[in-house]
Amino acid sequence: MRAEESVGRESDPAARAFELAASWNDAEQYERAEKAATEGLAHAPQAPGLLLQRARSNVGRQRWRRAAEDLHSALAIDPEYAPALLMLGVVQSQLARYVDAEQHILEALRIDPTWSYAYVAYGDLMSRTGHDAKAARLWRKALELDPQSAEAHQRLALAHVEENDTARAVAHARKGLELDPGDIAGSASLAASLLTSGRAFRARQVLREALSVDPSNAQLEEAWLEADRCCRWIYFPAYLFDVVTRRLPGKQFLPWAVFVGLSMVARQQEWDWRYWGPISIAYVAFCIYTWIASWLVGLWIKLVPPKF
Amino acid sequence: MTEDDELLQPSLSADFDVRKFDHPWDPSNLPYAAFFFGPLAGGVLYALNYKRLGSPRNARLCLAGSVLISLVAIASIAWLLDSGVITTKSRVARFGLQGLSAAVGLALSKHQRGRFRAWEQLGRPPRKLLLPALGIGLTFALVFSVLLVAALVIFDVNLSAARAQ
Repeated sequence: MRAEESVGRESDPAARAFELAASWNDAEQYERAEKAATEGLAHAPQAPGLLLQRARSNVGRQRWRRAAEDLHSALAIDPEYAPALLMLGVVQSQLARYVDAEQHILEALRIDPTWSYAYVAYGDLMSRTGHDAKAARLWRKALELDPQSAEAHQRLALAHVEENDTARAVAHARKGLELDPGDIAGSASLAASLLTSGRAFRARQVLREALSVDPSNAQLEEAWLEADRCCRWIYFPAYLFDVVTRRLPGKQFLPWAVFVGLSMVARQQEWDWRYWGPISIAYVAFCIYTWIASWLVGLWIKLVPPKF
Repeated sequence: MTEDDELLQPSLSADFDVRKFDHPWDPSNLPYAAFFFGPLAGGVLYALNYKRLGSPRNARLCLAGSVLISLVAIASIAWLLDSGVITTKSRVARFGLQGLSAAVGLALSKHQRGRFRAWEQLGRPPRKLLLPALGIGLTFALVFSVLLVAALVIFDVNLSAARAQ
């Protein structure tokens, strides 16, 4: 029995409760959604759609265990109910039950193999568990199924950030933001893309604008603080060095290895110390600076706190 | 199997239970330890981290691999010194070994990153690395040195000749 079928008639109080709960959940009014779904369940206790809406309201308030209970109840009534399977996968992922989460998401995809968002959610799980290549493939598949998926664009932006492909990261992030301008995650992915491409000041501005829309978002605030840290003059050279070296094979070890190699050649070839000496000292001093830059900027931020 | 079928195959093994992980170290810091303390100490640190990341099989493989690399490196250094290709003053062997340790370390860190990221998602802090790395690093660097000296004695390497060259 599907949710829509179980609450199918407009005159049915359960149907009205389902619609009401869904609209409250869409409006992020989770307590009202829970109340409406619970009232509906009093009339139709076997309606998986109402259990799903109550689970959504619990997910919105990060009450994962309660959400899982409702979803298990919904699946006991209808084991093929794909939205409940997918949401249970997401909830179990939050509870760090990754193996169970994967089984439920795969089951949802088996029932509905063309559901774009399910691929996004499976990609999220794969990314969370360190399977970056598979995550990127899943997000690409989601985009193939729904080219207007803002979520898929946002995730692909972050995947390209990991791959240091900043041009593609920025393009996907901009597209995601264009498709869903109200979604804070779009701003966050654009800021992450800009930060990786060395545009810390622009990233800080994007995050500042997003925070003005949602000032209570702790993750955005954390990202803004990170961007602000990179914009501080005391940390900015270390940040730029990191932007450059993360693209090199061996990352920061490559310039180090080149320096060690050159030192050995300089010694063998007896290079003029008047020229080679200051270069060596400057490089070693810069290395020391990069090692202590995080500590220095932490100290500086205590002295001059960030201003939003 | 089509690409889509392959995409929908499960990727997580039954033992992937992040709740049983035991406060691992952040693997991105381990290449430094491998660089400074060499292949044996680096291998021990990575093996311990694999164990803490709930992957005992990889821990055993990592430990066995590091012991093998260390023994091959020790034998190679002893042979190169004996044959006069390098001297005790040459830095090529030392830097080469350090570079190799760091390179292998980077690959292992990449391999451990996935499980570590899953651990990070729990919001728990990683284990502090500095003091254990110093303790384990210095101990196994010393073991490596003792084994190298033993190899030089076993191969009867003429150190005064190797030093003079």
